[in-house]
Amino acid sequence: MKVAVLLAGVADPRHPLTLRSSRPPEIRRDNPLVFSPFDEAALELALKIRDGRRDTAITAIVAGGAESDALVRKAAAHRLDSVARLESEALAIWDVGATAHGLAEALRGLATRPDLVLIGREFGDFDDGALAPCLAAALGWPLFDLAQFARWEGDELILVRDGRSAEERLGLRPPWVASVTNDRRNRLRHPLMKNVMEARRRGFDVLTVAPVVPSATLKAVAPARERTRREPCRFLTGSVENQVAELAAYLQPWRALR
Amino acid sequence: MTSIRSASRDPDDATDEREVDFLVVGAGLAGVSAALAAAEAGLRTLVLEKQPEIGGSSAMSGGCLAFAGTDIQRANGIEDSDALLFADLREVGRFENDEATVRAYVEEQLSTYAWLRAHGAEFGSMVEAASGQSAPRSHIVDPADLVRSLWARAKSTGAVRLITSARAARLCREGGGGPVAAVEVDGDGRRFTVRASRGILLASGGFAGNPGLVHRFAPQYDEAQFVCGAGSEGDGLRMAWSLGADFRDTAYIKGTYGKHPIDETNHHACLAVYKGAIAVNQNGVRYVDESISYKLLGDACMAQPFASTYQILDRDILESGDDRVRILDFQRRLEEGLFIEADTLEALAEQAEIPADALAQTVARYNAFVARGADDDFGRKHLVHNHGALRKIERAPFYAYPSTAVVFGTYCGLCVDRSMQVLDVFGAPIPGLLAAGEVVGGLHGAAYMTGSALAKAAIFGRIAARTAAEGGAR
Repeated sequence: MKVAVLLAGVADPRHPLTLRSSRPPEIRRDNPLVFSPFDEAALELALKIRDGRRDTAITAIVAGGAESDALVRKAAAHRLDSVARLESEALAIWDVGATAHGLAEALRGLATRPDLVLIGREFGDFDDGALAPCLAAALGWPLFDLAQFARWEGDELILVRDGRSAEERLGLRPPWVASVTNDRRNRLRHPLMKNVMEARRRGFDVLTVAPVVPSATLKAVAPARERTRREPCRFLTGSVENQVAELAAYLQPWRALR
Repeated sequence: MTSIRSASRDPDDATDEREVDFLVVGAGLAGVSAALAAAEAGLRTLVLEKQPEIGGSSAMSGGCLAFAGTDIQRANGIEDSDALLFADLREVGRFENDEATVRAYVEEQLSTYAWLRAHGAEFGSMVEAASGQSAPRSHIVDPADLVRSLWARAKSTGAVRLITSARAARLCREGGGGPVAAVEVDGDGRRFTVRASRGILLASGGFAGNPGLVHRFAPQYDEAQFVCGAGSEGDGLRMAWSLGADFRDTAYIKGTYGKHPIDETNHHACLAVYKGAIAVNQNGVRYVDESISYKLLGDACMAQPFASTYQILDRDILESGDDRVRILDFQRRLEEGLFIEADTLEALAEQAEIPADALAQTVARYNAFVARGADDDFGRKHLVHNHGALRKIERAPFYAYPSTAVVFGTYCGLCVDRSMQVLDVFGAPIPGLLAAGEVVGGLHGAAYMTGSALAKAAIFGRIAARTAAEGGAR
């Protein structure tokens, strides 16, 4: 099976966000990047698929500018068959439809067509979950949304997700797009140091796609307005009984809102 | 060298020059111990801390303090003594350490233990054997709590003040060549001077946070990981050098073995080798006697391919861990996914990308050594140092812990005498200048006993305060 994993990276939440520009590529350059939990889950799912079938080939494509090269190497440290960076300047990432078309074009440009495309349920800092369905539509492939786990049953790959009241398992006949959400079963493993060091020396391709004409023009990105508290935080004190009574009294008005 | 008289001072601003009895540079365990002891002796004391918070590298440490002959050891049926501690410290330091400095540690350790307890230090009820210990003597505390509680005690005396975000910049001698009597301080956007009539203590830590300085002495550690307090940049060392202070043990800067090379959330080393694991390199081959000091293990690891190796263990060894001791808390690391786990050695090797036949052969050979009681390859006789019987690696599941060396501290530094007075390059005390904690050289020598760095901070801090109180620093 040939698996392509699409990765984007997000601003590292351990650092304060720097917003000196309203252009997404520059915002990414100004902030340290890490894989999001959804990126990590997608990558781990690909590794799990390979664990089950050694003939699985994994390609990782990291969307971004040169600031994302470290993420490319971080993915490569999992001893992937190929890694590449997709130059994101042309993607218009605030426009989910345009971005989906750009990603689809990049996937079509690969030397061999993937059987399965894995993508985190949110793709980078500018997607709120619409990209995976749009990508499936742009490719004309079926979508398995919010996958949490994967396993082989014979020659068939089964993707698993929790439904409203039951676990759903779907057998896949390629090609598919699957969005992946985080789950304790797909926590990204640590790469081996030997592969980390080899990844530092490894070269990779930079893919480009024709600029996509977005349906909207990005005018500005500005810091979100800070929310103000109606009253300051405070600790409940006194005996446990007193704290319970005080908390119940505090919550009483909320009951009326139900 | 800077004269007090040359210090910038606005005569109209009284806060540009302050006067105290005792000035402490650095608020890690050495600094707060010294401040508390000085306050108890009646000295008006000022503590300068470069960072916004107290604690330094001490607060980030594993929380082990090496004491011998304690009530906790007795309660656990452990026989230990000053003599055994002294012999161990000298031996693990390969007799490269300074006998007088080691003796100062040993003579004051038990009273310091009692002093810490009297000031509310809460030690765990168990003690563990670790690097360089013939008897289990790693007494466990929460190091950040220890620093905070000692500081609270010091503050409650009313005799100690603290200025944070204040960096000591220069030491000043009286009249240019007399005793060290003041420090120029950068803080609050300006430079001011603090005079101290009874002594100035450098408790400013090591220089693991200064890659340039580390490279000067230990270029082989350029690729190592560094985990230390943000202020560990060698400020105290350089200020003392400017007055002609001598230094030692820089040839023995070492990383500690057992740090996961990739994980960024868990800074502490994991020492499964001290519970019976073996260390193998990427080729599946042992390369060292695993019972030696984890500093020497760090050196050995750095010489292996990729500067990264694996601790190989089985279920029995994993279950012998101790979740109260950070370096032996295997279960938490297992839950965090840091161990590679498999039902067979072959499957373990596959995950670690080690040649499976080589790993199986290495483990079988080692188990045969254990059965026979003789390690023909590296002469390992014990789990750690002279303690503990070796155990086979035979019960599934099997585990591999990826491990490299991490430089937590530099463990070398200024030459001092037994009263913690800093010595110049001719062996003469520099009047007015004391040192304690990681900035001091001479205790560890070539290698390191677990718990001796943190304990030395408290022990030497107390000695330095006593020296100042008795007027010995001038």
